[in-house]
Amino acid sequence: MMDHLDDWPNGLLEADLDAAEDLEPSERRSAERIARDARNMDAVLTAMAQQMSHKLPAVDLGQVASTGRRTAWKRWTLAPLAAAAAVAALILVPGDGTEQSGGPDPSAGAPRTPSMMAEMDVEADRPFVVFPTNNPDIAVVWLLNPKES
Amino acid sequence: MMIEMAKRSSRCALIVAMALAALAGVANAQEREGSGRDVQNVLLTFHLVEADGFTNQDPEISDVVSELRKLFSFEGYRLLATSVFNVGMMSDSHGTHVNGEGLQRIIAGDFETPFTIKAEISSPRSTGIVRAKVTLTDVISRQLRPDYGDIERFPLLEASVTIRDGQTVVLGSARRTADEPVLILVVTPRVDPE
Repeated sequence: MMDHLDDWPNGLLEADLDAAEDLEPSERRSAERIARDARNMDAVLTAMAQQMSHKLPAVDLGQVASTGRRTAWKRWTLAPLAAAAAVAALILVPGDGTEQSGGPDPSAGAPRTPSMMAEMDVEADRPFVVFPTNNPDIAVVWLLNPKES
Repeated sequence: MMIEMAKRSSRCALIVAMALAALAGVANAQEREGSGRDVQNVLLTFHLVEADGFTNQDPEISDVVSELRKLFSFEGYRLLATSVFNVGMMSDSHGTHVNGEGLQRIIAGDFETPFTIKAEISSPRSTGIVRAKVTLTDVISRQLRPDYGDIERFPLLEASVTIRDGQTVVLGSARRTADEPVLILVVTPRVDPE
């Protein structure tokens, strides 16, 4: 991976410029223009790399140039998808406590793990105790005999 | 270029959202259909159990007995009688519930007088939830409050319970006289058995 602080354009082109001092003036101007553009690009790339390094801990500089475009592409692509998902969720999530067929639904609004006593809604003509058991399919309702108690 | 891409992704997003909505709609409809139908029949299985010194294991009530042993100090449990009957459900006049009731007389163990088990079942329409009022009676009349002179026949056991399909509810305790052993009624409903 190439270190962005020792980016190639400066070193390479400056070495070339040193070696090309004997060039024609027009060629020299072209070379200087290329070197200037390269420095500008280097500065832009360095700034981008620093900006990205705040957000991404390890950025492969070989991908920095395309990352900016990809981020924009992601933004343009993901934003509508996220909005669509949010709308779909609003449409699909049913409301709580809806009444069905004119009668209240005993399970509506109930917690997911209601107590066994609340779930069974026991009524008796005597005092009673509901014993939950280790078996979720077995419940014990013990009616107390007033005489015995 | 970017605008074109955004338009394309918006179209894709819309298609994906519609496809998700359609799939979830079908799933919700299936779910509602599963729990939202009326109860047509309830098959009730009753076990009348006597709590006393019997220590032999009865495989028919072994699950219940193993739980009762953790709760009570009775030495053992004996299955006196098993009663199975089907209750057909019909819509009430308001159309909000389906109701039905069944009754069966049983001769249990050494008891000379028969017992009667009565079940009144009610289910709110489109819920699949069953509520049962279970009554265990015999032919003996008792005074509810002897001190006040009230003479009233009252059941040995009466309770209303909301029960899940296949759930077993143990109803105790009943005693005909102070000298007789404790009786326990075990009920298991099967909603719309095939």
